[in-house]
Amino acid sequence: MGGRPRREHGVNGAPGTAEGPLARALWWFGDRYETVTTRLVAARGLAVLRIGYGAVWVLFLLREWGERDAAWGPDSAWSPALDRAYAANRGWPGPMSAWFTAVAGLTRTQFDLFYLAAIALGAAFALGWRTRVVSVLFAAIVVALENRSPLITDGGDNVLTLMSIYLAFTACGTHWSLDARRKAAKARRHAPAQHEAEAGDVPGWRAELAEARRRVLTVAHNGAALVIAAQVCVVYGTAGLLKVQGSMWQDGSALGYVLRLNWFHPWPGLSAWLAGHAIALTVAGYVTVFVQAGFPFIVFSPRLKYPALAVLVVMHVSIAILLGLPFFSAIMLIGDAVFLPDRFWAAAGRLLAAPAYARRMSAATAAPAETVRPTLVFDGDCGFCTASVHVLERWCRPEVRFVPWQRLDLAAHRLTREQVTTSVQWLPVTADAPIRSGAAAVARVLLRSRRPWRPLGALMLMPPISWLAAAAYKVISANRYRLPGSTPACAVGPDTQSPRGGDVPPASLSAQRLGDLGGGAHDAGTGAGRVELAERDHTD
Amino acid sequence: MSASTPATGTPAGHEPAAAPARLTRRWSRALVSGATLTVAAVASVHLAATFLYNAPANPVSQRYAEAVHWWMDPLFSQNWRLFAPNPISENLRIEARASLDPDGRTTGWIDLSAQDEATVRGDPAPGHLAENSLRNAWLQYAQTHDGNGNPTGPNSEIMRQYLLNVVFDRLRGQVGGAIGSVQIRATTTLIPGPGRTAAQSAPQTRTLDWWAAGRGGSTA
Repeated sequence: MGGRPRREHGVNGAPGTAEGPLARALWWFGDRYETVTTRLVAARGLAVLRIGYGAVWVLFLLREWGERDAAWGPDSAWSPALDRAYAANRGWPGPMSAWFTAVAGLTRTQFDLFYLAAIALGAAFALGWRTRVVSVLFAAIVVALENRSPLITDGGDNVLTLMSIYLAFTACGTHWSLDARRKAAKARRHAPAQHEAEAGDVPGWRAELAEARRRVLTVAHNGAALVIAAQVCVVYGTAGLLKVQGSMWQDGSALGYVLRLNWFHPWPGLSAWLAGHAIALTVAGYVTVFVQAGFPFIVFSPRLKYPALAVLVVMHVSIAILLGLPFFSAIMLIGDAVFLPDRFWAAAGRLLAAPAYARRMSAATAAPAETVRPTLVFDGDCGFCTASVHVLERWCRPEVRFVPWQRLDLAAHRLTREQVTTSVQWLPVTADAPIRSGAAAVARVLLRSRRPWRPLGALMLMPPISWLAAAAYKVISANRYRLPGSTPACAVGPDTQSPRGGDVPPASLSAQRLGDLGGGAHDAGTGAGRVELAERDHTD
Repeated sequence: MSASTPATGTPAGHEPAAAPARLTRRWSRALVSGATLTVAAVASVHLAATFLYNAPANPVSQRYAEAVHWWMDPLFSQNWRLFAPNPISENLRIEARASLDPDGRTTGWIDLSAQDEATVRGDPAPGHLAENSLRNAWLQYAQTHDGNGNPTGPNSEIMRQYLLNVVFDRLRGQVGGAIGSVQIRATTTLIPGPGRTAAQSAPQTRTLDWWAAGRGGSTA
């Protein structure tokens, strides 16, 4: 989503060889054709949809376990006879009708087995086990069960049905799946001898067929990804444009009425309290309508997209709690995930696995473990800062080096006195990745900490929480001399600070054990040989 | 196609698929380009149909209404009138009573919607039955019947039977005795708000005829 994709050199050669508008257009077309047939768009985003919808489906069925018979079983109020009569009235084609009424034909025992199979399929889908086959079965079973009792469903069921069908056309099992693990393990086993063996054994037409098959599946995946994204836009755009026409959304009274509905009212006290805040509800209503109606356009603007997604998160969390529709909200939010770019998910995946990943990568590149650890630069003269680092080291155990700036060659690391005396600085492992400071630096430390701390770090990087975190960091750092553990040096700014170098930070710091970062072997590795951990995209 | 999808992301987000093998033979190239054209055609048709299906009625959607519904129903049927154009702004109370079989004794009115509301209250994940079944059964009945209870469409009898089934199943567990017939009434109350007079907000009750209780089938 981040702006226009860069041109890549396709089969037709570099753009420099093309002359004239027609040749350029042909080159562009060939380039796009190559992209569409060889690259899976949003592969990780769609893996998130797979995991999310599989998990929601399992949780939903478990929630309804006690009421499964009354809802969809042979004794349902929407009786098998009514189901068949309804399907007959609608005049659907035979196979479609058979699919939609399949569950109505089951006896009680068969229905229970079907229900268990539906739960198992949802779990297999979420885990990405034999995804190609399971995704088709998942769509089949979701459509069959959701249409067994059409009058007890809500918008969430509608979205889930559509998405399960679309996902069956995608390669949603290529990441974060049992399939991917199995494939990786197989590749490791066969890695050394594979190329020679395949080149010798496999006839040319089979390799050609395999490649053609891969490309056809890639095209289907990309088409389905487009349809999924467009479908989410249709949902929000339609809902928003219809609301624009509603007098109650115009005069701001809509949410007040919604909160007074007896039927969707799990927490009457909370709803009544909120209903008393007419101004806030009007603002919330307007924001909702603007974001929904504008969503099909907002997704093309990176600047607007993330705030809009944040608004939708708040909106759906509110719906989940206030109206008692958690499954509906979860299903809508999972659909929104397709708009987060793959490099976001790639980074998220790396961050979740960070310390383990770092160790693996350092082993793979045969570099000393220390060289691939990023560094947090803090103020060694400031007692509060030092104490905070102690706390971080003790409780969070991050895979990070802590170095007081007094022991660092600032110029070599593109840092200034001004920077290091006002906030902590995060030095990534590669020299070309940006240096982060303040709350963003702390968040990155937490992301490399022991598992319980990582979600906190992720939250601190997400707007609007990241803005709050940045503001809180500023307040704390401006007042650090008032805080416990502080020393007079905490209050000293860059201008009055005397030159230092010999001051010894507390003995337990990693920096002490590792020595100065500013020179020696570590820097020699900066560049080509270094392993990049989190700051930039890279394909893994 | 990928260039126009919002989900495309930057090239960094693209997934390089294994070794970039080349297709060297004519048949395999034809296969891939044929598949690409098919996918582009199907996706275009589907997106156009989805748009026309959801858009307000207009000359284009009316002209192609039959084709659009053929494509979309029932697999892709969808409805995004989520609290739109205006949210529901009235509370619905559905009550029922039964006439018990041997002696024709009539029970008092039982407030079924209040029971659903009590079930939902305090539940972080309420079930579909408590939230939707009774309310939708009533709304569908009201949509497919006129004010005198006469059917207005092909699904009227199905919806009447469904409402009867929902109510019958609920009453069965609550009244002591065999149910001979049931009567349903629904009270609609406008939620007070700006521009609504007290007279408008007065409850309006619609009481249906007695229906012979029977479980299951349909005469449709």
